[in-house]
Amino acid sequence: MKNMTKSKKIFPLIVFVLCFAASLFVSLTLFFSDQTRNVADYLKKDFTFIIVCDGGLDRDAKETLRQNLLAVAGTDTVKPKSGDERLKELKAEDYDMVSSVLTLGENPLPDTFEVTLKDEAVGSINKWLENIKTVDGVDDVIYKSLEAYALMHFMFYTRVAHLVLSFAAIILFLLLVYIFAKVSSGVKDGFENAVACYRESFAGAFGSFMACMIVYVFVFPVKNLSSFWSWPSVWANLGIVFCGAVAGLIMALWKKRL
Amino acid sequence: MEKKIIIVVSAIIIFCATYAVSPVRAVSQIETRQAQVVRELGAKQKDLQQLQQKEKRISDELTQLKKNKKINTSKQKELERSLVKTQALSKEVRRKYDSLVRSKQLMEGDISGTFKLYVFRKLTASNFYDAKQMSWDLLIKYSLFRKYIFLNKLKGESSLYDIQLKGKQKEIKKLEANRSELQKKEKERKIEENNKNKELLNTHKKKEVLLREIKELQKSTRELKALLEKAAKKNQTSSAWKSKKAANRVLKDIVLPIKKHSLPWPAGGTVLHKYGKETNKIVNYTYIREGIVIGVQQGTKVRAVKDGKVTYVGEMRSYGEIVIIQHGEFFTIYGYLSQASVRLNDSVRAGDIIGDSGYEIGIGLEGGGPPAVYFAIGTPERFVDPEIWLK
Repeated sequence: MKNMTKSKKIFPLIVFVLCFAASLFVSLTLFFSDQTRNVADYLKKDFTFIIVCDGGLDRDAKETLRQNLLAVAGTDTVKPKSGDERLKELKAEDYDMVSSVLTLGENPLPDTFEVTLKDEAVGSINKWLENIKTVDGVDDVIYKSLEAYALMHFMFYTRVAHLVLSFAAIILFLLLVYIFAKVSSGVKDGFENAVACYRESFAGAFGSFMACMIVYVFVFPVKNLSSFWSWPSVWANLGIVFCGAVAGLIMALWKKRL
Repeated sequence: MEKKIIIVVSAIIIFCATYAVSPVRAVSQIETRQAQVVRELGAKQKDLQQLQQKEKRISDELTQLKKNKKINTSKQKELERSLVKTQALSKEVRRKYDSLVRSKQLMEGDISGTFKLYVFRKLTASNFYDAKQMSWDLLIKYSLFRKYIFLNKLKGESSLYDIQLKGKQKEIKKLEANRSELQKKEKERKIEENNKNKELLNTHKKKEVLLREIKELQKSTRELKALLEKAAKKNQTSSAWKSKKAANRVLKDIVLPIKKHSLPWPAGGTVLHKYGKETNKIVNYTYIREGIVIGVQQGTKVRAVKDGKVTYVGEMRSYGEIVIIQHGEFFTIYGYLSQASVRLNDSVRAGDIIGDSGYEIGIGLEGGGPPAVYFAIGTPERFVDPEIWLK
C-alpha cells in the first residue's frame, strides 16, 4: 500500500519530465522552423535577377525576349523595367547621389527585366543561369550569388524542421489512435479509466506548457536583436500543451495496463 | 657745254682769223671746222638715237617691273589673307585643344571619384540581401562605362586637334616663309625699280645734254655757214680756195710760238681734271675736255699767263664767267671765275690779275663744286694740252 502511494506520487513527475523534454524539442523545432521560413520569405521577396537587354532592341524584340525568358524552366515572373523607370526610382531614393554620379547628364541605365525564380528552381540556379544566358537579346545577368546560397540554405532548414514536425505530428496521430482504441473498447470503463488518469495528463500538459514558456523566455531577448523575428502562433503552443496532456494520459494508461 | 665753248671760241677766232690772216686760209679753216661740226653732229645724233632706244628699253623694263609689283602685291594680299585665316583657325584649334585637355582632366577626376564610390558601395553593401543595391551598382557601373567612353572620345579628339594644331603651325610657318620670300622679292624689285628710275633719269639727263649740244652744233653749223659766205664774199680770188688743202696740212701739227713749260700757272693749286677724254660717271657719258681744271683755295686771284689783249669777257654756260685773251697766234681761256677784273679789248701783261676764282660747274655738281679755275690754251685750229706749256 505504501509502495502504491509512492508510485502514484513519482509517476506524474516522470510524465512531467518526459513531456517537458519532448515539448521543449518540438517547441524549439517549431520556433526554428518559423524563423527560417520567415528569413527565407524575406530573401525570396528580395531575391531578383536583373537581365540587361542588348542595346537597340525595339518594343517587339523586347516582348519576344520577355516571352523567351518566361519560357526558361524555373522562371517565375518576368517584369520589364526601362532605364528611365529605374533612374526615377533611384532618384526618389537618393537624388543627390544620382546627380553626383550622372555628371554627363544622360541616363546610362539600360533597359532591363527583373526576373524571379520558382521555389523549386532555387536549388538549380547555375543551370537556370546557363539557360538564361543563351537567350538572344540578353547582354548581362546581375544577381547576388551569396543571397541565392542563403536562400537555398534557409529553405532547406525550413524543410528539415517541417519534416521533424511532421514526424512528431504522425506520432501524435498514432497516440491519438491508441487512446481512441483504448477508450472505445468499453465505452464506460474506458472513459472512467481515462478520467482516473487526470493527474498524469495534467502533469504532461504542465510539462509542455513549461517547455513552451522556457523556450519563450530564452528566445525572447533575440527578438530585440533582429528584425527577422517570428513567434510561433498561440495555437501551435496550445497544440503542444494538448499533446503533452495526451502524452501524459497515454503514459498513465500504459502504466496501469488498462 | 664744252662744245659750246669750242664753237664760240672757234667762231671768234675764225672770225678774227678771217680778218687777220689771208682770206684763203680763213675759208679753209671755216670749211674744216664746218666739216668737223657736221661730223660731231652726226655722231651726236647717233648717240641720241641710242639714248632714245635705251630710254625706251628702260621704260619697258619699268613697265614690266610695275606689272610685277602688281602681281606681287596681289600675291602678298592673298598670302596675308591666307595667313590671317590660318592663324585664326590655328587659334581656334588651340582653344578647342586646351578646352579638351581641361575636360579630359576633369573627366579623369570624375571617373576616379565615381570609381571610388563604386568600390566603397561594393565594400559596404550586403552580399546577402537588398536587391535595390544592384540598381545602384548598375547605375554607377554604366555611368563609369559612359564616362570611360567619353574620356576616350576626348582623348581621340585631343589627339586629332593636336595633329591639326601641328599641321596649322606647319602651314603658318610655310606661309610666313612664303611671305618673307615675297617681301624679299618685292624689296629686290624696288631696288631694281629705283635703279632703273635712276638710270632712266640719267639717260634722260644725258639726252637733254645731247639735245642741247645738238642744238648748239646746229646753231654753230648755221653760224659757220654764214661766216663762210661772208669770207667768200670778201675774198674774190679763187686761188684762196685752191690752197685749202695746203692749209689743212698746216693744221695737223700745231706748235705754239713759245717754249714748252714756259708759261706761269694762272692760279696756284692742283689739277683736278686733265686735258683730254673723260668719262662722267654720274651720267655715264664720255666727252673730251679741252682744258684743265685747277683746284684752288677759295678767292684765289687769277692771273694772265702772257701779254695779250682781252677778246672776250662774259658769262658762258658750263664755265661761268670767262675771260679770253688773245696772245698773237694763240689764245688762253680762264673759266669758273667768280668775277672778272678786266674788260673787253683791255691789254694785259703776264701776271696781271684778271679775276677771282669761283667754283667748278658741271653735271652732277648742281649743288656747287669745289673752288676751281678752268684754263685752256688753243689756236683757231684746235686746243692743246695746257700742262705741256705751263711751268
